[in-house]
Amino acid sequence: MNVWMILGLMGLTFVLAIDQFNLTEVVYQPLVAGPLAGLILGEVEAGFVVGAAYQLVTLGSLPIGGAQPPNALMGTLVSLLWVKAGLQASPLAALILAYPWAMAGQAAVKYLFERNNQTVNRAVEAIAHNQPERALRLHAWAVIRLGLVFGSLVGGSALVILSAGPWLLAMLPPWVISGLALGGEMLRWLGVATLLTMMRDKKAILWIGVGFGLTWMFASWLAPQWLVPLVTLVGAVLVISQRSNPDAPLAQDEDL
Amino acid sequence: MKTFLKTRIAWRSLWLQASFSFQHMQALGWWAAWWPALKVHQPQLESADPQSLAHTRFYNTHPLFIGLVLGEALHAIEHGKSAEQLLASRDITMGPLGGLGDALMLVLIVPLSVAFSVGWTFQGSWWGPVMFVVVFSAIRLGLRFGLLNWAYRFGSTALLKFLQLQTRLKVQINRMGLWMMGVLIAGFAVSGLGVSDGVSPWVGAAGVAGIYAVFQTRVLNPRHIVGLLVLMGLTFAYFTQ
Repeated sequence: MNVWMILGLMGLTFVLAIDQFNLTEVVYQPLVAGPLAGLILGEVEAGFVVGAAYQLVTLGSLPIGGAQPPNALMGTLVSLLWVKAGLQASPLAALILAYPWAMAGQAAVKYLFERNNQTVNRAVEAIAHNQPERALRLHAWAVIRLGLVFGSLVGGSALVILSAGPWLLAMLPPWVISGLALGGEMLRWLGVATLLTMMRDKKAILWIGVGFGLTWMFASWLAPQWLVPLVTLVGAVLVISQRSNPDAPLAQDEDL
Repeated sequence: MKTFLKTRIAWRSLWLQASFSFQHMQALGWWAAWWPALKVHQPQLESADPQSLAHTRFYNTHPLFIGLVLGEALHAIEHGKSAEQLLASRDITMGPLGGLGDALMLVLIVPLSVAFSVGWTFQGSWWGPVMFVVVFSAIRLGLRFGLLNWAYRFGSTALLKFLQLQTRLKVQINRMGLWMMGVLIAGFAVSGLGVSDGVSPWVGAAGVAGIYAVFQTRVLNPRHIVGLLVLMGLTFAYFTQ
């Protein structure tokens, strides 16, 4: 265990936790956060695999109207800590082991949003007392506190997992690890199935079939990193070439 | 000067949710983004003035479209609208834009960024994360700055024009989302069960369809399904060890 490594991870967490709801709103996503954390922990390869797999899991669970899903950032970072503790051979097992931390991250965000009620009340009071600078400082403090809470949560978890993790993983029989890895693989089904439930207009179900079939057909001819963007572009061309309906009635609020 | 002000409030609007709270939501974030505009138009204004204080009341929309709301407000303040008139046209954006933003983000923007990047990431290439950030940020920042300028030009009719545009594109957006779901499922959700080589992709397709069917019954929530999948994996691994 390396002190600098843990401090670096805490610093990264501080930045990414702030990024969750502000600034770029993209760097914190597992697909980017995974490789970055992997770089710090010296597990770059696992970082890519865990990040990409976790991104597919979270596809259907973004925060909707302030309601919080299990925290993806916390899940990604702790997954990589478990990988570092000895799951290099089957990194996807770490996705399952990190799930409780994702729930803890969700609870932390809820707590902080509750806590911000007072902070904003104080800021509004400051505005009413002609102290705009103080209000802006409180506005900044709220987000710094989010970063600090996440940083210390990940730092504490790193100490526990990196010291007790190897011992714990050595106790588990190998079939448990491969079972967890299989569970981690299957989690991505949950992600896309959740996203499917968001699609309201079931009349257009043909489009999912054609996209699926086209990708499946050419899967053995072209590697997925080329095939998937290509078929996506084909779909975009097809969709854009369809006539739009200028006389459609105005949309009801959430109906897409 | 005007461009400077627009850039300044657009930058501050990136911190819209810095002090997000369940009670006030983005109220303070809005005030922090809007305060420079107030100061430019009324340099003598104090923050305790009712005109400023009115801007601290409850507000929540999707951050994707805050550019549109800010542009409308900027147009309103330049044409001498009162704070109450300005806030009235701001507050009606809460419902429509909030729901639309969540839907667009889930159905179109994130799947599109993922489609262009996740394959590279699985290959262990930095090109994946870079593509993800570039595609996502191009759409998001394009909407932020583009909508700000666009709404600034059209003023209070901007929201209506935008919703009409969205209504016209509704069908296309939905089809595109569904198409990408099919592509992503075939490309990444169904293939690559590395642990158990030889498992047919049909198992994956059946898995996605099965979970979707279970969701439709509304009996189990995602947490139950995580447990169920882990249990299935452990059982499979135990009997094939």
